[in-house]
Amino acid sequence: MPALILLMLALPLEAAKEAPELLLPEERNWLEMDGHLLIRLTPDLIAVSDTLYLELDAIDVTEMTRIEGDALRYDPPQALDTGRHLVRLLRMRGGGDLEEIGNWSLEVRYSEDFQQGHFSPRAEIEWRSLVSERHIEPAPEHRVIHFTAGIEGSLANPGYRLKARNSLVYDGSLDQDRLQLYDYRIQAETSRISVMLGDQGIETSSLLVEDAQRRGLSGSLLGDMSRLSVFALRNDNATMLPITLLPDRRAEMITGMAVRFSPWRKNPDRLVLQTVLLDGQDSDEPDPQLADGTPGKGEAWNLRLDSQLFDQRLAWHAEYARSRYDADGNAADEDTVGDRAWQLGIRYRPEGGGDLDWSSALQWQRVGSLFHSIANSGLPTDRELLRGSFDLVADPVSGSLMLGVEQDNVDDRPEFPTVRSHLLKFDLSYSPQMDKGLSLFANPELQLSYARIDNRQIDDPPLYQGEPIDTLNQDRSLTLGFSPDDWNWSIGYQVSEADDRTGVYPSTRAVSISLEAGMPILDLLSASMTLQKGRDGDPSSGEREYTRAAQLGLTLSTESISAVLDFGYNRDRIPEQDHELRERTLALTLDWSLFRARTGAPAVDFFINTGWSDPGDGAGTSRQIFMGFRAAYAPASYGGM
Amino acid sequence: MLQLRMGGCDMKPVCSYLPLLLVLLLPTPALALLSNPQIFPAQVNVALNRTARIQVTWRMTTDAGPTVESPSGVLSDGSNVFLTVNRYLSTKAGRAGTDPATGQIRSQTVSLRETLILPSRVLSRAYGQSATRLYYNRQFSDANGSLSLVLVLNITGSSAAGFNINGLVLRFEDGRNQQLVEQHDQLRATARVLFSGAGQLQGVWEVAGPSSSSGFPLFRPLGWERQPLFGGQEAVLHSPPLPTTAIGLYRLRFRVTQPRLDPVFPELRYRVMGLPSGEPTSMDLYQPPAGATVDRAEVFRWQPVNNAEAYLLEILRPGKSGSETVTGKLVKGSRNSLKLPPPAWTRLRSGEGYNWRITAIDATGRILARSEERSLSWGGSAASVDVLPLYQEPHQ
Repeated sequence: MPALILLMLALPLEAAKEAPELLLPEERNWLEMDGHLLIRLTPDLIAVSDTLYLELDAIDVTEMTRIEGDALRYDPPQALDTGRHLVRLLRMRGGGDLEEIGNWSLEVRYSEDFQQGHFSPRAEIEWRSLVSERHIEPAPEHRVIHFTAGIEGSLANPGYRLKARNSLVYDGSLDQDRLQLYDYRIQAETSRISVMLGDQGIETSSLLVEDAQRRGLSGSLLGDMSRLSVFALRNDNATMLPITLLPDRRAEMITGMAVRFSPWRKNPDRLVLQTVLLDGQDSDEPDPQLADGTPGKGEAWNLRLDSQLFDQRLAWHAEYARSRYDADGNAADEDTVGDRAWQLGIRYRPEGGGDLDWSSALQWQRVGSLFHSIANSGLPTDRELLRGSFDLVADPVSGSLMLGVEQDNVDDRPEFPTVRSHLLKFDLSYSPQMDKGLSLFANPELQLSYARIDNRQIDDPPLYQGEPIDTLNQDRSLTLGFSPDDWNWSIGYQVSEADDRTGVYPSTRAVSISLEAGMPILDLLSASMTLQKGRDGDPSSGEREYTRAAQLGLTLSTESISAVLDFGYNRDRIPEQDHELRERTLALTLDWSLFRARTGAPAVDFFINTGWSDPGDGAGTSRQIFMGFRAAYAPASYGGM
Repeated sequence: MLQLRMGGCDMKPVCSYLPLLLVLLLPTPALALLSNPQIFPAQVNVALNRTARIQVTWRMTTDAGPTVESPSGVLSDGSNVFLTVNRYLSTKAGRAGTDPATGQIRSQTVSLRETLILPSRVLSRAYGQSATRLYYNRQFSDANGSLSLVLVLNITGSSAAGFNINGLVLRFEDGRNQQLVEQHDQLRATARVLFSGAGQLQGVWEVAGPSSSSGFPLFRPLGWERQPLFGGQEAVLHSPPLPTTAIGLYRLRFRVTQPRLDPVFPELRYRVMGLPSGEPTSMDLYQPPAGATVDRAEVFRWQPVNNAEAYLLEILRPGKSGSETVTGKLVKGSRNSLKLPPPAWTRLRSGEGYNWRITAIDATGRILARSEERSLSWGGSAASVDVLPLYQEPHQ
């Protein structure tokens, strides 16, 4: 009996000893990302190794394995992702049945200290020299260096995560701001706290906050049902149309706090309550037109409810916002103004699927004439509107319809007329699947649009001194496009009419026709072309204006040579003023790649950049030619997420 | 005597306002001097709390030449000055003057265009002082004298204001205002147009590429926009795909041609780096065709890719939030066809629909190319596998 027991114990032990094993580096229970899989096989499995199959995460990798000693080895062609992986070893038995011999759950880590990690640097330097120039004022610098260096990386463990993305650009050709941070973000977060420095948006988009990237510092505290964020951010206005004659209007500054709360932990979208409090000031650049160059100051807050119900098919929101704004930033002169804004919206979108997909929405909004949030200074003010929209996709047709009523002078000022506007906008697209190969009219797509707004003055205010208002604007457009094989071409026709029914100003009609085409030629060359012709009327003077424009692009690309040629033409003529302008530009970029850009290997190329321009104003043709070389290097990324 | 005529006077109601609209300061007319003054438009409505950009054309006839100029303009309500615009306007009038051959006086009609920018705070301040009608006064002069013209502005509500571009904000589609991209990356920009009134916006997206961006930027057209703007006071225009073929610095702008604005427009800058693109190129699938029913004997074929070290075939289950890999096979880069291996059969259900795609990987692990997903239906018989013990811990 004891012998039998011993035998029973020994058999499983012997079987276990004979089972294949996944081998890991010594004293580790994990594998590095660029590691390989090694499975020790039993002698009988080695003998039938051609019947074995190895799977990694359900992908058969048998073809990439080899027998090494008494083990089956697999070197993944790509670094493994961090996290858990499943390995399975199977054998095909004689009868054609599969037998699973072993399976393992394997952890892949970035390093001993960090479960996940990623590190991706890159750098590029460019030197160029001005070879020739004519009529360029101010003359470009003769020798210029550009340098770009970037790094993107992250480190993470279950409790926390650190992320950074930064790119530094030095451009010697720029008069100012030669050294700039293009991408800039450093982030640290745990499950409860998050801190971010650099480019970011405020997470809530609303009447109060425009959805845009800003730069600064923010921090958040995360609870199970709530989130509290504080921020101090600047908005670079350099890419906005200058408000005065000064080309660069610099940053606005906002500081504030946002609180978000949801009573449902498991389904927080069911109801979310948010509030944002803001304080800030306009650009700190002085306005040369204004005697007092002090920036405007303001504060604002809102309360917003968002809810998604019935599997997110029905969504609604409600928002109330208040603002106080002092245009000259001087609190002592007591000219601070305050106002309010409201918004209600509801959207219904039934479960998708099938050939029919539609959604419908209704929105009401009222914004006071003196409402001004520093973080959303472009919000349309002095307006009450009600809009309904309907969108439909039913292959091959898609369309949208928008109807609206709007009214201004929401404060009923006696010196302002009240204008009520009725809006209609309709878009229809029809694109049947008709693959006719190389036919010029293959794969047609038809787009039709109509828009109309009717503005009528609905009162007669005693203190209004201007003209009565009664206008009708209409716009119709038709575009027909085709995609024969790799080509595409389209033709468009658009008519816009503005009718002043009071007869004070001339009614105008603008018509334009456009033709666009793009085509590859012999796999090496691609061409694109756009032509446009238009006729407009000036609503203030009734003058007619005729425009013609063309653009042609050619791109040649081989293994080591690339060439890009672009030509542009603009003609603008106003007969009543005896005005005619013809602008022409031609740009050519030639690039010879000595070493092609590849990950892990440096790239070197030489280039010639040339440009000609005739502004058409009699000033003569200008020309500039540069030559230079460029070296770039991007080592293979370290790690992965 | 000088005949007064202003833009819009052909349209009768404006003429009744002429005494208010125009103030003439004439020197003693030994010769006929600046005459026939016209202003287009004669009067304008501007919205309270919005920056106004008003395109004004001043037109007059000079008998003296050689230039007509105006050093500045003044905005007032008749008593209080709210803004002084120190912008010098000038145009040549070389044909005007006394003809040396005949002794006759020749006259020339000239037009001077101005984009008058009235910051919202100026309008707010004026309105705060109970001014709803403002006068923008400019004094023009030629060799013999001067003439003062007045544009009338009514502060009104937003819809009653004339068509006016109040603001233009350029950004890339992700909200940034500068970008560092790799060659052939997809990139687009948006122009957020703030406006009042209703009218047609015309403009052209223009780009200066590496051929000139480092010197004097030579902008070339990229695409034209003609869009009716009405209702809502805000519109977002999307640029055509931006060029990322050539390496170097690009400057992008949206030049508004109608209504006419200042020649200075904001620019976006982006730089294309000469580094390998993170986005794989596409590759073609040959066999089986889309929607085919496949079985164990089916051969999958694809377009070979240069420098491929391995190809990965994935069978995917399409889902709402993207496709999920069900099974697949990794093969050497020397091949361009394969059959599904027996372990894959065990993971597929007969009659069910899947997608498949191929990914080409190079020796460094970089994805060289990836095909689009193509549908298939599994018609192979179900396979089973005899399972031995569940997951074992790896051996250290």
